[in-house]
Amino acid sequence: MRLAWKELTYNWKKYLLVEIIVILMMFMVLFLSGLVSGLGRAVSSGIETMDASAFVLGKDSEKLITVSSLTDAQYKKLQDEYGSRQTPLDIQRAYLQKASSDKKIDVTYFGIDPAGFLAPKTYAGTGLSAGKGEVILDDAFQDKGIKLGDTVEDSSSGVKLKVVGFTKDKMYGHVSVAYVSVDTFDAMGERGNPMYQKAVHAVAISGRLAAHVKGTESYTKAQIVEALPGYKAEQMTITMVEWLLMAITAVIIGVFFFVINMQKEQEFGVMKAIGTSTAKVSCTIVSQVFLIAALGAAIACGLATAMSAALPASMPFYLVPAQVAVVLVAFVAVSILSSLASVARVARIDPAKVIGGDFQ
Amino acid sequence: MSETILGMSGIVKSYADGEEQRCVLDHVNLSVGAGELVAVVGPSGSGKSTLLNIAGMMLSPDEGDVAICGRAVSHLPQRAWTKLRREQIGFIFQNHQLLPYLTAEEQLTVMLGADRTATRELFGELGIANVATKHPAQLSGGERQRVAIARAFATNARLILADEPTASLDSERGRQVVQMIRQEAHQRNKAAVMVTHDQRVLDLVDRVFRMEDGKLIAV
Ligand SMILES: Nc1ncnc2c1ncn2[C@@H]1O[C@H](COP(=O)(O)OP(=O)(O)O)[C@@H](O)[C@H]1O
Ligand SMILES: [Mg+2]
Repeated sequence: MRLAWKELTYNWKKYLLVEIIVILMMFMVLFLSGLVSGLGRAVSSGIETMDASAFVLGKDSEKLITVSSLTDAQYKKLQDEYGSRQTPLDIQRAYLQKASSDKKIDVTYFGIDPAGFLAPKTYAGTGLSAGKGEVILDDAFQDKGIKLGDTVEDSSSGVKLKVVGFTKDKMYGHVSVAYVSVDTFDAMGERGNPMYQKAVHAVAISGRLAAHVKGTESYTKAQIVEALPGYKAEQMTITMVEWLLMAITAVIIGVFFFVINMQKEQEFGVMKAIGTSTAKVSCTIVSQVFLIAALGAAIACGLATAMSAALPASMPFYLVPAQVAVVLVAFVAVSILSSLASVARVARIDPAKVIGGDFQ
Repeated sequence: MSETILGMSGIVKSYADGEEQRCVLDHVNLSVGAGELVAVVGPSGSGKSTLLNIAGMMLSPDEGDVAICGRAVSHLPQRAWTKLRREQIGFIFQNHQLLPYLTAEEQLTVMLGADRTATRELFGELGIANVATKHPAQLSGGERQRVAIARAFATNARLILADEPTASLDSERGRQVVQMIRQEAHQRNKAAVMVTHDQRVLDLVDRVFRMEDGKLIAV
């Protein structure tokens, strides 16, 4: 360790360059990690932040609440079975507009029971009352100039909604959520489409699942989130790029050290000749790689955290400490693995050849 | 006669030279006692370095036995060789071969675990006390070679092996270096073997051998 550190500091210019590359690449890895989580939340935070543990959907709904529907009989059974541990949930993509403007804004309506456990926490205004014509909006709508007490209009039905509260961090499929009561939800449906079939889409359950109701299917929250359109593909693609980049960075360190150590063959030969054990020589190489990798990971982590704080809230960037830790630890581990190539080579250096006088 | 530190008997070593085997060492015997400085001379390519590498347990002979301090070592495994090199043998190479990133005293303290006060004392004896905290790049050729000598003396190994230690030095400094090795051998009762080309230092050694056609002949 001591020897490793002495060499790093003596040749600091060389190793600083390596370190800078490591920092930049790991920063990129963490940036992707933040993007994965950020985009994931943009798709799923509306569901993710619910106090529900599971959802009961109609058969053949492919885990999609938007296309699910429960019959009245099924819904009745579920109500009897779960009592206050269940609450209805309707989801519909639509548009709304400010009363004063024609500009349509994307929205995902969540139709809920204002008295049930899906009622969102508001940080401004109040909750939904039992009556119709009220809406609670995700705070992203504030950026669009909608204020508490304004009236907005559902574009397809023309139903007017009074903004009674704002909530945070509620998105569904990259679109911000608007909470309305189930009654309001149905009213908008009926006004917008004469063929509208009034039916509860799904039921959210808090706590454990009980007996199965025929003709329904139950899924955990994680399963519902996984099945959200685009969620899995997006997460998989970016996660793959992230891990690939991490592995490449680790291998690059390995290659750097392989080349650097190749140039030091003479030194290693001398070390062995004066009786330095192969274990100690190997330990020196591995500690150097560990120091470079760990330090690079730590600095990149600091930079990413600073950037996360500096980015505007609307950017889909969110660092999950556990995920960051996993990728950084994996990086250090793979770096050390890739340094074993150098170790294997150095272990085979023959001291007699390296210093054997005239014969090289 | 004094205690034998290095005993080599019947050493044979040959290298593949194209198709043929070339016998570099042909049944060589050499025995060096404590308190003795021995020189090996001979034309280039005659096998002097090969002999020294075998004595220093860096190369195994094809035949023959090596004993250090009375203990046969040729049959020991590689790892034991490394340990014995550290504990029993002090090497001085043609080009100092110091590690560029360590200061003069760290070459002894970090690499060999030598005591710092003892290192300073040794540097004082060799006249390099003033360079203890400098890196090799900041030293003159003579200073570097003296640090390398200090490294060979540091572990109190009983056997000192030097392969052309004066080759990169002018004659005056070369002579000083040989004097230091001689003094170490005589005063601390060590055995020293030095390969050299330099005829002018042979008056400082106790015995001279000549390497020729694979044989070692006393001069
Ligand atoms: N590893 C080796 N493989 C093949 N031939 C070698 C090897 N090492 C030395 N030789 C040959 O052995 C002979 C003796 O080499 P060496 O002991 O270095 O001589 P000296 O030190 O007396 O100049 C030379 O001819 C050299 O080419
Ligand atoms: Mg030689």
